[in-house]
Amino acid sequence: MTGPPTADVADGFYSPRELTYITPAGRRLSDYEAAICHVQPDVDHYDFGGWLQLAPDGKSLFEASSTRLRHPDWFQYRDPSALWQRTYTRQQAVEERAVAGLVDSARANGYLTDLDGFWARDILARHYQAYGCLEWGLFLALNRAIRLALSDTLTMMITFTAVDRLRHQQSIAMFGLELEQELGGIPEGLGREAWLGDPVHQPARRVVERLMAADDWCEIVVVCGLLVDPLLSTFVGRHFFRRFASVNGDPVTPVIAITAERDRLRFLRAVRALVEMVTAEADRSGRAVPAAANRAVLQDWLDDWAPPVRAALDAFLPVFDLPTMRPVVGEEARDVVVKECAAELERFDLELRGER
Amino acid sequence: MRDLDTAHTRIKEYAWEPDYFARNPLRETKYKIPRRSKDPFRHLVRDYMVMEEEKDNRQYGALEDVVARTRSPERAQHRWMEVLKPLLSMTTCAEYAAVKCMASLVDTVDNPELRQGYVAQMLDEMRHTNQETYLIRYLARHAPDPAGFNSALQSRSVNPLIRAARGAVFDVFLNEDPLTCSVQVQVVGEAGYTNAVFVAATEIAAANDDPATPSVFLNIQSDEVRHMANGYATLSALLAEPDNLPTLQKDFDAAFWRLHVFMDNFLGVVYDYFPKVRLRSYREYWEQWIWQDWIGGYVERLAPFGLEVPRWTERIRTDIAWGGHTCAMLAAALWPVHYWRHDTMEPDDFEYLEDKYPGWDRYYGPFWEQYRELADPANGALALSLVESIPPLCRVCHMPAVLPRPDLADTRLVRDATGRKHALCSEPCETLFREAPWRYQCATWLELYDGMDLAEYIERVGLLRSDGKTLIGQPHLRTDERSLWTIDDIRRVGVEIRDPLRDVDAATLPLIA
Repeated sequence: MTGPPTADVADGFYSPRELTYITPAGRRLSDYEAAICHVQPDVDHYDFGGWLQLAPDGKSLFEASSTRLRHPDWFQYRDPSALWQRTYTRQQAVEERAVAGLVDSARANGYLTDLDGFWARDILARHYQAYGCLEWGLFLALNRAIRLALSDTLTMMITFTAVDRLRHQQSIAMFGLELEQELGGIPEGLGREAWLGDPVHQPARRVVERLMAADDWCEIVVVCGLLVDPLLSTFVGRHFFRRFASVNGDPVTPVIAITAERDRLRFLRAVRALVEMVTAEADRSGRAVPAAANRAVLQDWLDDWAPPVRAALDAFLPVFDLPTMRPVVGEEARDVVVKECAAELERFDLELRGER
Repeated sequence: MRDLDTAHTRIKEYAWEPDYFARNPLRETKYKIPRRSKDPFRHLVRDYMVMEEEKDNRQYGALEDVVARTRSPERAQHRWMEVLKPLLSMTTCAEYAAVKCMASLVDTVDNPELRQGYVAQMLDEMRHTNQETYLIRYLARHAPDPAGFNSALQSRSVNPLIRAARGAVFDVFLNEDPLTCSVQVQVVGEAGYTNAVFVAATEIAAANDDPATPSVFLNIQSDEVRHMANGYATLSALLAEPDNLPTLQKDFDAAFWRLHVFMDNFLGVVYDYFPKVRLRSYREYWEQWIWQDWIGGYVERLAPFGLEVPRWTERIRTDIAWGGHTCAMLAAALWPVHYWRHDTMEPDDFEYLEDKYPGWDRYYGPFWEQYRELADPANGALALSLVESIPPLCRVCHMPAVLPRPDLADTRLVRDATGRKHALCSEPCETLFREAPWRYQCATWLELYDGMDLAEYIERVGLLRSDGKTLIGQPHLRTDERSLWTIDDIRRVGVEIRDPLRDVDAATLPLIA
């Protein structure tokens, strides 16, 4: 090295001290965006030249044909909750501590043995545990979408949503186990037996099994978020279990149900963002989005899935008549969720059609 | 819940066999999987969330505290901080691939015990992805040189070496039979290599005054131990079906080779060329973590079940001596296309490398002597001029087809029936190519940019700092302006990116069936 030394460069060495490869959705890059955006390699963004290894059947890692919806850039999706692993884990830990603490207290204070016997044995042990199977099935369905999703932000949102369902299923399972241990005389496996054989659950099981077998990842997400959750899960989880539990002396089920409702509301906002994205006329870069074609696909899915989902509501109606204390009539609750669901769909010029 | 065993059993009883709609997995497996097996990962979601929240608090609290109080990253050894740019952009790729790999396994493997393990691991992998991107951003904010951290997940995609990483830890982790991917990710990647990555890097980082990397990596590694249990449970389940053995052995052989050919050569560069304070050579780490612990402790325990040590293990062990050095030399020669600064080797480095790798001075010493000379832009020549030509890149692994050492290279140049020319770095990569050539048709970095002026390439892929002229990559760590290479210096040198395969007459090459 020859010549006189020159001054050192300034702090930052000619470079911004912020990630430059992410276009923030807002004015500044969020912690959420920094945590997930562009972790998924993509041959249409930075990873030029194609995939380095194709599948044995010649397929790419990701296929646009994995959904009927089309968008010029799935990486523009942002989950409105802005949850990333740290904040998601923190939130779910709080929920689970609340449920576990409540169950511990309920057990210690003898609340569980004070439960109405019919409610505990015929409703919770049978139908609530069956509802746990529905949550497990939704987990499996959403899990397929994790593998297929065409961007990292969508993958993370769907991962958290799938794990939500697993958490709900396990909360229900753990409560069921507590009841068996505290009350005695409740045969194991009543819930699974009801899920597999009781006519009140068969249409719901049919819907969930079909969703578990679906292979269009957006269809799974949209049907779960815009039909199964708002209609079936809200009808059964909120209007039956949460509302009926309170008047039947059960302090635990409403808390489990409320934490599940919070997760479902978060998912609904996430699905709204997805639907808004695919039904916008242009993406954030101004590229055209086939909004009309996408809306037609969405309506097609809704038309296809709404009748079986609504049949699942009707099938569950007799359960509303079983408990001693009944705060709401099943038909009225059903009409409420149908009305709310239809209103939700109207936001996007979509309709809830199909016979009950 | 008072009885955890009962609880773990209970949560698995909500699965059922569908009656109304047949459920086919997204990807079928060629393996037979027992319907029940041992539960490797006994966590309820409840326990998992509480446990990971506490671990998150420790890690993020430490990082935020370190920044607020000590400004430690600024004092870390600059040479070490540079290599975190490619290292972290590689590991995030692997972690994220593992998220989707676990989802695939959950979908395909109809076994409730294994599924519970995969689900928890899926969450772990998302956790690690976010932890590592957090660390990248943290270092962009606090490291001495933010350039390269701030562009890491963009720059990795167009880098000739880290592009090969994508093949090894993303495409290979995902684009297969999910059980084959499990062998890649869990059996070889996690059981074999995570200690070599996360534990070794932690030791070296700490020795080089970098407190941020250890706080993240050790936190991650505490999850990886459970993933190894997942891999072992999967292997045990597969080995319980004797029909699986030939397929499993073949997958195992390929998995070790594919991960080795990128990972060992890359880690050799990281550990032998970037620490200023040195602890052990990569070969020593490899002997401990891969040879003794993984091969000797993990793989050989599977011998009674019929699974043998991977086919190319002896060759791999021999190649470890030189592959990293050859890659380091090529990486240094290509410094203008990197998003990190590739420092010169000083006398104490020479002494260390010759001591750890007898013969190093003879094969690589002259290059590094001249590299130091050419680090000054005033000398008007690039280190690229020190190598005869950039070697072709292997069609399968996309690593330079000159490994383990130029005079020992096992390179094969061939043509296919269409007349397309392919370089294959070795017999193992040729074997993989022959089995399914349609899987390996992606253009190499050299083919993509063949004929492009180097300066044009640098500008096009965003390798300039925000003053619009200084390169992100530099062949040294100096920061006085006169020592910094600019795009004008590169233009003055006038180099064209050239694929050596271009000059080879296809008709002279053997036809590969």
